[in-house]
Amino acid sequence: MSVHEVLGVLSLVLLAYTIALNLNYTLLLGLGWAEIAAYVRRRPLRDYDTVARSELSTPVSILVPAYDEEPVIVESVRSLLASSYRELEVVVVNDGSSDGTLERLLEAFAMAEIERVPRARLETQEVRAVYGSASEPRLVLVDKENGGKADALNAGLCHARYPLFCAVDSDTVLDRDALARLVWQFQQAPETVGVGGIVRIANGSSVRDARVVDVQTPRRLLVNLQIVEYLRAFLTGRTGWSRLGMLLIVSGAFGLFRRDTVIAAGGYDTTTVGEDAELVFRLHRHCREQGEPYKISFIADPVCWTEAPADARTLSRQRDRWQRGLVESLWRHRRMIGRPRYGLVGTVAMPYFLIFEALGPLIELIGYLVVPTAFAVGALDPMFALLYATLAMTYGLVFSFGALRIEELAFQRYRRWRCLVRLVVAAVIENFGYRQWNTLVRARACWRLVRGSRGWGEMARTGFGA
Amino acid sequence: MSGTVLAAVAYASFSLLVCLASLVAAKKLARNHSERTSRARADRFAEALAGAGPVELEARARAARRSRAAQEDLGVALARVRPGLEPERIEVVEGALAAAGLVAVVERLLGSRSSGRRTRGVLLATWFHGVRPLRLEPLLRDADPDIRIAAVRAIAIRRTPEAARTLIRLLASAPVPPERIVERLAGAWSVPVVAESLGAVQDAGVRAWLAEALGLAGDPTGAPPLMRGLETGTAEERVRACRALGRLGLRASIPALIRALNDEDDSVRAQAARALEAIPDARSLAPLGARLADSSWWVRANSARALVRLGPPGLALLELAAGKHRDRFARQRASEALTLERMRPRRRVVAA
Repeated sequence: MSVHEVLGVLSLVLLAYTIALNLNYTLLLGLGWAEIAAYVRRRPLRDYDTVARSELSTPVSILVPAYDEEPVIVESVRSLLASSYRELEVVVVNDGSSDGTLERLLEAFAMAEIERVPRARLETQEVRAVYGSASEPRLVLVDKENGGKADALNAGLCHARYPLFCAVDSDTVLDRDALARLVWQFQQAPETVGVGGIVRIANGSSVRDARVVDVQTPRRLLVNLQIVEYLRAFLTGRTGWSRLGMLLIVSGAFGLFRRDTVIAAGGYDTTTVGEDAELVFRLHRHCREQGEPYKISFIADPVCWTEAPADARTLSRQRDRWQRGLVESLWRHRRMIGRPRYGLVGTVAMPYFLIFEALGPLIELIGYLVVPTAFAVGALDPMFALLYATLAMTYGLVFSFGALRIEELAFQRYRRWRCLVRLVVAAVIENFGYRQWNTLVRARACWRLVRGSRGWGEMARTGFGA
Repeated sequence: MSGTVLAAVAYASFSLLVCLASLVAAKKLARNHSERTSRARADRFAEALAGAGPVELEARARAARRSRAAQEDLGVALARVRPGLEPERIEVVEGALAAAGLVAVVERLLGSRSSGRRTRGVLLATWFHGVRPLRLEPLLRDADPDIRIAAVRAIAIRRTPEAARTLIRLLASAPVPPERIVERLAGAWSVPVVAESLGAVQDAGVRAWLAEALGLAGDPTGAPPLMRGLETGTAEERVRACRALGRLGLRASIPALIRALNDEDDSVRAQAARALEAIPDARSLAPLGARLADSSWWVRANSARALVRLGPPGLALLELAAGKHRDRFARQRASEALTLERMRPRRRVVAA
């Protein structure tokens, strides 16, 4: 077979891959749309206020792992305590911070050392002390040796006392009724073991009294590109997978879980950088192996606001970590892939994630190399190459605009026209450079993983007030 | 490749882009418009419900029958103005809405086979059920959990003894989370029926939830059956009775709660200590002090907090316990409670 022929065949394989991927996206877009439309129809039936105010609602422990979060930690804890959900406790776990995270919390909330009997036994780094607050009885601070985010979450799980727990990042702000909306899912379907909510980007919005009050998109293009990405991922991807009962990722920044099930499954895995994805894989596996009926779902309404990386370097570290986390999780649970014992998760969702999410960047990268080369050496019909490029870009546009339309249909968080225009521009521009850069970063993450990289990478935090 | 093809592809891509952007913008425009219209219409309805004559009111209600959005806006307006209306005015409104056939519309929706229509029906029922009783019981067994829970809400809106009895029956049988029923049941309007049922119901689980409802209702007339439940009920009933008595905050319940501090079940003891924290009284000083050495961490912690609430006598007892108590755990709990109390930004008002 000549080089020309090899390149031609490769191009056809890549075209088939692109078509398969886009068909999947189309399905997810349709499912996401249907799910959110149904949700919007029934939303007025749900009396979230009562659930939030009621003393009878299932109590929730909010776990906040904090490592060197001095600029944002106090504001973040205040935001969590300001939740309208009545029955909650906030368990902050200081994971051996080297900055003033601990001191700022002790001072801001008048905290003193207390004895708190752990309610579960999970292996964690040594807990140095547990603090209670004189001004806020719902707040507990666990100070421990550094062991990473998963280790901190496990320590929080041991010291949490309520049946549901919500793991949030310390740089996040929850909407006032976000917890009530998540808890509703547990009451509606008692077999639920985990629910994820949407994570939105707060850069550019105003935060007052630990609340996001004026939602806006920022001027910075890089952040707007991420907003479009988040909308697409949450409003079509996760909603679609959730509707199919095959949700594999609940964001580490915002998810509510049944505590006893997570503890029975062994808590968070401390040896992966993608502990959030790994936990969901393991919950699927645990519940299937135990033969327990269970449900893991996503709802697009409860909002958690987070600060997105505003520079390419920080963003690349974040994406690198996400990709490594996903690949690690798939590798750890490779036994589930293709096994009917694990239902649709094992036979459909995991193979999909393996081919299109884990290996996707590598295949796309090959595409970026092969197609132009084939075109340059004349192995590819120019018309074919043009159609291929147009197809890839057009589909990208359709999904991004589909997500924007769902956003306008159901939520309309960005009230100003200016914001919508920025998002439309970002949805177009992302096809020219950003997507390719993202592919490169994710492909590099796979390479780093093969070479044994385990680090988290530094995340620059400026705080919402900045 | 010819320039024509390139131009055609570029043109097609650009057209698609414009088309997609227009779809998004059109959705935003449409939604902004419907929100504005809806707000203005609800305001007009509210004005009419508060002051228009029966004929005009009926004409407005008839007009609302024609569109879904208008029906919902009328419902929202009704929910908004109803608490401020005089009983005579409510009668006028009820008459006008019934004459306009809105209640009949809701009844038809409730009986529909389509889940979407039933969803809308039960939503309208939460607004219009106050106008005339609707047949909501079948919806309590609807396949859709949201409809079941909304039906509970709609039934409770009438606040009649019959509504209370329906909700109590549901506690034993319906596939609705009991918490959501008890929240709706909790109110002064239901206390006589709930108190009566507490003595009559055979199911201990239901009795426990009824105790919870009495506590949430905040009506002191609910206390006697709760105190009886504290003596004779199952552990779950005793826990809920303690919680309820703590919420009611009656001094008459203190002896019963002090006795509950010696209950065999640690959950009951912990809840009794918590209830006593809510009703600070010198009589509970020594019994709470004794519980500082309880075998359960939970009881010890709640007792220490309750002693803090007793003010100087409680703090003095905690000081003593922190220094000299023979039990290490009692010393720890006492010193912890004292430390937190000293760090508290503003001291509470002492009541003893």
